[in-house]
Amino acid sequence: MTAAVVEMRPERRLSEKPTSDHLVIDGVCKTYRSQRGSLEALRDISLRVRAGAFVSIVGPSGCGKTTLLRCVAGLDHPTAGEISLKGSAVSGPPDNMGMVFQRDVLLDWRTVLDNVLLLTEFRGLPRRDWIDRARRLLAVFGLASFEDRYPWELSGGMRQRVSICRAILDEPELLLMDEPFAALDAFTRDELNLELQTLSQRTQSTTLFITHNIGEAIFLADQVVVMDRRPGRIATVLDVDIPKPRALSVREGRAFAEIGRQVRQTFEDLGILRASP
Amino acid sequence: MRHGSARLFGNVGLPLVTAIACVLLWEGLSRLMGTPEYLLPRPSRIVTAIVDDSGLLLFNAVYTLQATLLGFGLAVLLGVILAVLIVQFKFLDQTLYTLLVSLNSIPKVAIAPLFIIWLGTGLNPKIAIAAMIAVFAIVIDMVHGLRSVDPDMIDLARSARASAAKIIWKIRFPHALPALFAGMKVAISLALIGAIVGEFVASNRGLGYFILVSQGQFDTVRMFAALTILSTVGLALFYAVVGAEHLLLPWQVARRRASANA
Ligand SMILES: Nc1ncnc2c1ncn2[C@@H]1O[C@H](COP(=O)(O)OP(=O)(O)OP(=O)(O)O)[C@@H](O)[C@H]1O
Ligand SMILES: [Mg+2]
Repeated sequence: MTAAVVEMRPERRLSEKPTSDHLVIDGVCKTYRSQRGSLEALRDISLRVRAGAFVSIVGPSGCGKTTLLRCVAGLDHPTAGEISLKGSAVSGPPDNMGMVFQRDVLLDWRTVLDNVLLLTEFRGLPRRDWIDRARRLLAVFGLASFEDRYPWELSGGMRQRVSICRAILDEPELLLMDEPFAALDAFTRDELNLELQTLSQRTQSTTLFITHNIGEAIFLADQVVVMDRRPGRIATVLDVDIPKPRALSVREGRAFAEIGRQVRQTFEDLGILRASP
Repeated sequence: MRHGSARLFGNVGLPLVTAIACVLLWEGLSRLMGTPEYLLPRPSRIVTAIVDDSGLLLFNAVYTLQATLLGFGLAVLLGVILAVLIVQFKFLDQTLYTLLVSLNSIPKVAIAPLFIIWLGTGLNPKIAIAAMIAVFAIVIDMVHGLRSVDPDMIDLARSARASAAKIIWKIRFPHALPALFAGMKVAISLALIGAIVGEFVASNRGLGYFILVSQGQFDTVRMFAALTILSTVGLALFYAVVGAEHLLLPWQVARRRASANA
C-alpha cells in the first residue's frame, strides 16, 4: 500500500495545477435489469468533485443516491458513462477508500475495537500500528468504554458510530457516506456533525455524504447536490460559501438560510416538497 | 441470578423431573402388573445389571465412543472443506453439492456392509460409516451458513479490496459457525448411530456388539443395560457440542437468549 501511495505522488502533483478534480462523474446512467423488467435508477449524472471537497447529496427516497455511491465505490458498474478518480477510470474499488453503508454492517463476532480494525486487516496492515488510533477515534465518538463490547450490546446510533470509525480509521482519500446519521437523535447528530467536520478538515478526504436532512447537508458541505426523483438526475448543485470550520450557530445565519431556501425551492419546483402556504 | 437459576431449571430441571417421573411410573406399573423380565425389565433390575456388568459395559462403551468421535471428527473436517469448496467454485456447486443433496435422501445404513468389505472388521470401517452418515448434515448446514452472509458485508470487504481468501476466513467462516454448530448437533447423534450400525454389521466389540450378543442369549435385562449406557453416551455427546458452542460462540448464545426473552 505504501508503494501505491509513493507511485501516485508524481501524478498527483501534475494534476493539481490545471484541474484538481479528484472525482469526475461523466454521463453516468444505471439501469437495473431483472426478469421482472428493467428499472432506470440513474440518468445522465455528471459531477466534478475537487480534491478535499465535501459534497452532500440530498434527494427523495429511491432516487438512486445509494446506487450512485456504489458506482463511485466500484462496487457496481454504470450502464453508461464513466467515473474516474484522479484521472483513471474506476473499474473496481480503489485503494484508500472508506465507506459507510446505509445499514451499519458490523460483524457480530468481533468486539467494537476489532470491528474498527477490520479493514486494516483486509489491507494486510499490522494491527499494532492502528490500535491506538482506533481507540482515540472511538473516544472521539463517545465509545471509549465500549471497545470490548459486542455489536449486539450497542444501540442503533452507537453501532452506526462504530461503522463510521471503521471507515475513517486510515484517513482515506475518498470517503463515501450513505446516510450515516439517519438513526441518530438531533443532539447526537449535531455533535457528530461537528466531529465529522473537524476530522474532515484535518484529513482532507474527498467526501460524498448522502443525507435526507437538508440542514446537515448544508452545514457540512462545500457543495450540495440536489437530486430529482427516479430516474435519478441532478437537479442543481449549490455552493456553500460559508468559511470553515463552522460553528453550529451558522445555521441561524443569513447565508445558511438562503441556501436552505434554494434547496427547498428546488424540491418545490420538482414537486417533491409541497409549496409552503 | 434468580433469572439464571430459573432458566437452568427450565432447561435441565423440568425434563429431568419428567424423566424421573416416567421411570417411577414404569417401575410401579411393571411391579403392579408383574410384567415378565424377558419382555420388559423393571428399571431397578436394569440398574443392578449395569452395576454388575460395569467393567464390561465400560470397555464396550469406550470402543463405541472411539469410533463415534473419530467418525464425527472426520465428518466435520471433510464437511467443512467440502462446503468451502462448494461455495467457492460454481462447478462443484452444480455437480458435487447437487449430488450430495440427492444422496442424502437414500438410506445410508444400507451401504454399511460395503465398508466391511472395503476396510475389514476393525475400528476403521466403523469410523468410516459414522463419518459417512454424519458428513451430510455438516456439509448442508455449512454451505447454508457460508451462503447466508449479508451482501453488504461482502461489499464492505470488497470496498477494502479484501482477497477472496480473507473474505472466506474473516467473514464467511465466522458467520457460518452457528450453522456449523447446528449441523454438528445433528451430526454427533448420527455418528453414534453410524458406529452402532457398523458394530451390528460386523464386530466383536462395542455397545452394538454387546446388544447383539445379549439378544442372542435372550438376556433382555443386559440389552436394556447397554441401551441405557448408549443413551447416556448420546446425551453426553450432544451436550458436549452444546457446551462447546457456548464456549466458542458467546455472541450467538447471547443473541439467541436475547431473542428468546423478547
Ligand atoms: N440491486 C438492485 N436491483 C434492482 N433494483 C435496485 C437495486 N438497488 C436499487 N434498486 C432500485 O433503484 C432505485 C434507487 O435505489 P437506491 O437504493 O439507489 O435509492 P436511494 O436514493 O439510496 O434511496 P433511499 O434514500 O431510500 O436510501 C430504487 O428504485 C431501487 O428499487
Ligand atoms: Mg439509499
